[in-house]
Amino acid sequence: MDNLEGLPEAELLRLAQAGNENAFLVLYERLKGGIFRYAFFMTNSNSAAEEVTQEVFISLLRDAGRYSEALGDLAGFAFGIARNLVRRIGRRERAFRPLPDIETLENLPAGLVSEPDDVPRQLVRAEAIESVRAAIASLPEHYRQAVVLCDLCEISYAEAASRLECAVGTVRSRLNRGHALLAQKLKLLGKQRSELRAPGPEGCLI
Amino acid sequence: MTCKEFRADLETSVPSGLSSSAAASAHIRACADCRSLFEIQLEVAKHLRVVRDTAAQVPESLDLMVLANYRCRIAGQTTRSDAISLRKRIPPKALAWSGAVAAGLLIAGLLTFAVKRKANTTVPPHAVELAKGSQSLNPSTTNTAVLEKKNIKPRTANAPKVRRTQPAVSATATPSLSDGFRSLMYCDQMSCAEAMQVIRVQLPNSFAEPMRTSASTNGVVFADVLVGPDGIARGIRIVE
Repeated sequence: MDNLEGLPEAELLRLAQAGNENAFLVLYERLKGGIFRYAFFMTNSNSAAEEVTQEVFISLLRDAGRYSEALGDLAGFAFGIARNLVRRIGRRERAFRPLPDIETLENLPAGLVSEPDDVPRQLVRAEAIESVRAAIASLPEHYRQAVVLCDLCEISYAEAASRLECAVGTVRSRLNRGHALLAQKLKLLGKQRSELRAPGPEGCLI
Repeated sequence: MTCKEFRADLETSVPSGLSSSAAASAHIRACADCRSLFEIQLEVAKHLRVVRDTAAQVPESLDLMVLANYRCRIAGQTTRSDAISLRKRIPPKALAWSGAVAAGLLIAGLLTFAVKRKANTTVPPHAVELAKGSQSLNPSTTNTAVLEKKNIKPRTANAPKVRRTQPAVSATATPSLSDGFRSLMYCDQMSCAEAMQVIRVQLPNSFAEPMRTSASTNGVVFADVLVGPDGIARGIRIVE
């Protein structure tokens, strides 16, 4: 197994296809984290992320003939498969997507940045994290791709550009726009809630 | 530094990195709009970092599932390649002959099965005769015959002593009723597949009247009752 660690991913895939289980395990260990995280943040669903990860490896083995080393690395090829699967799941799940919980989003900044020192706070923090994930998942797809790849999967701008098949400048502007939208979403929802709570003339009657 | 330059820098670099620049820091202090924008970006970056650090890990069950899928796929490939190599090894002519022989055997088997099935479902001639005979039978006589087989006394007041005799005939196959037996119930090869016994019984003279046979002078008549292996009488014949 040790001698397999240094092999490139394309070679590992060839060996795995020939029946070398260790080669497959090395390849799986290398790629699974990135694919799972990408799918998880894109869909905000654990089960969808598992489904995507599993399907990616099935597709890699089935469609290995379609991969060409000249066009890029295997991780990029696997990412392309994952991206298509995420889109497919997004189309499938669109009808069942829940609306964001306004109350949770209002408590977001305080809940998210404070240190969890007791159970209620931990719960608030968990809810706040879930709300940010939901906000990310609700971004338009091209902004979401940039935010997930660069901020959450910690991929460099250049690598993200090659995965998304666009220029580095485009990635940067999408990322910036994505951040602005994210801030707007979080702030906007908080504002809406505070407006609802603001005492108006009718508030005096209660 | 102008606002435009600051925002261009903010777009191309991470917010935390921007604060280390002296020019940018001075601009943030001076411009409220840019400070607000910078703080928002800083806040978003902080939230994203927390979300990134709390990301779900790949579950162990998924690892096992992916590995199981891989093993299934490899096993399937091996089986397929074995089948392909077998096909290559056997010459096509031999395969064709084997196929023809197998098809012939299959057709012969089907024909045999069909003939057997037809034979089983054909109504036997004696069953037809049984059905015809049962139309003129008195139900009370049927009961009497069955009761006699079971050694139970008939309920009639003037019932004579019934003598059970040794079987006159021990049939090895389903007897034909063409030799004078009258049917007491439906009987064919399915319901009376096994051999039946003939038991001779003594009955009162009154029994002979519905059977349209001549009554004897001593007040009794003898009859042969055909009894199945289940103890139920299938037919009766008055001994003249």
